[in-house]
Amino acid sequence: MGEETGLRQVMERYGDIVYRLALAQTHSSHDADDVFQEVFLRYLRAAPAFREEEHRKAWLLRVTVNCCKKLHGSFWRRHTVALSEALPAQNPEEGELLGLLEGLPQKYRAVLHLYYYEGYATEEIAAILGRSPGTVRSQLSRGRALLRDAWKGAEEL
Amino acid sequence: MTEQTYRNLFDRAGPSRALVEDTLAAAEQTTARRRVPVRRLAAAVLCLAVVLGVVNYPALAAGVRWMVRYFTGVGASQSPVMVVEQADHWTEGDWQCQLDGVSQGEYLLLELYLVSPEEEAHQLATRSLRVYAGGVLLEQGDQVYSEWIPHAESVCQGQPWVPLSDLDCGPEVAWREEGYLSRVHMPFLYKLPEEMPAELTYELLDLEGGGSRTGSLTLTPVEAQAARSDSRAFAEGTVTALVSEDGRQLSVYAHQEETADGPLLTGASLFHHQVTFIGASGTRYPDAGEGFRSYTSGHVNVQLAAAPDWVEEPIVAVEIGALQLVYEHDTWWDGLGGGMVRTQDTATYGDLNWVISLE
Repeated sequence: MGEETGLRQVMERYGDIVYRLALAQTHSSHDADDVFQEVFLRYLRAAPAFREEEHRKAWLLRVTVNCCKKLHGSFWRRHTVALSEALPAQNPEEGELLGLLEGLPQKYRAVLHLYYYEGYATEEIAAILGRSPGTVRSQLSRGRALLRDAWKGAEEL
Repeated sequence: MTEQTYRNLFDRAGPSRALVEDTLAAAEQTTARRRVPVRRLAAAVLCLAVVLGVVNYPALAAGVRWMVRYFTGVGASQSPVMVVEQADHWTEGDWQCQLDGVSQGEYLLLELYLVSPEEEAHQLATRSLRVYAGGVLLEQGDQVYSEWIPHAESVCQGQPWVPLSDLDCGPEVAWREEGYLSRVHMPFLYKLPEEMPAELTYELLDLEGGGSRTGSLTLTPVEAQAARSDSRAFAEGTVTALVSEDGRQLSVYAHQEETADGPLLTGASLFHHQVTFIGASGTRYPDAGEGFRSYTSGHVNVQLAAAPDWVEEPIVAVEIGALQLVYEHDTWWDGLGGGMVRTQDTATYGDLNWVISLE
């Protein structure tokens, strides 16, 4: 299998996951594009070997968060844009959620996304992000509190 | 409104087809630059330096005769190497503390790490570390780097906390996995007496918090083992890479020599993600990261990378993708009290394709 074929397969399998996390973290489709490309080029350069497919996914998620952080600290980072520019609301409920997400500090975004969208447990999120489970629990709790109005009816953490 | 709303929203997001194709095109360019032609690989194999014996083996590097040995678990060195048999560990509140070290020849480098579960970004740490051999206080090692060890009388002043998320090699990787968020690194350099001591005692003083600690460390010689070596000349000087006989450990060693242009190469660092161990099946394995010892402090100059423990097949080659060289040079300072000053700099080389084959 050629490197390009291998990379294409990995991108087809995990491209959406990487892109959505990048978008959830950066709120900008331009930044998400940059992060997406950087993550898969790093994957190619590092050529990591994984015993399990789940480890590959976790590696890609971790690198995605790291690339987002790097971008955030970059002088060349584009001006902040609204998430609704990348993901226009299709109903009032989505509009309200977008409004709340746009006010959510960066440090809560990846944790909430991995928990609510990817369905990871707090210990798994801690392993992926390199944070302690206690920190992740606290960030989830705080992030959820900030979105309280939007998350009425959501299950207790 | 539930998490289902969140899911519905992000279900609509994804990379465009153009982005996927652009990324594949960029990847193709990267691969083309990185690919090592078979002929070139064969030439690299032919150019390998001698397979070293267990004692007194000269490595021929760039026409210069260097006595470089490979020490199990430590790496390459020109002089006898001893390591702290067991690093000292203790806790200070939530902080995990570690004191570890290595000696090369007459120089001893002790490295103190304070690791925190919090982001201690705006704090600085200052510690004093006095080390005794047979009750006699060890002298400070003379400085090779002008600025890297900014301490006097065994004091490391105002060292910053660094987020572990920014560090991708060294013991930091394992700490990060354990959930720690930041660390302080304090290197201390000493000169050992002629008669090499095995037991050391130390006094560590927290010059900010006021606490103190005493402890002991045991130095133990490490075994030299056979290795393959290969050298490369850079503008800043020559670097020798040594691969252990089983191919599972790689070390790089900077030849501390003044070149015709003046710079003195003082260290060479490996990048965790730029070291690849190649198995007999052709599978490429990344550097394991954990257990990676990364001592470079001028006089003490040891770097090591290792194949992951779970790799069962034989390793037949190791590839170094990039290196960072640390060097000193004279530069003109036109500020107050200006003139020629000695300064330290780094040079990073990528796309090296430096393959060391064991076949």
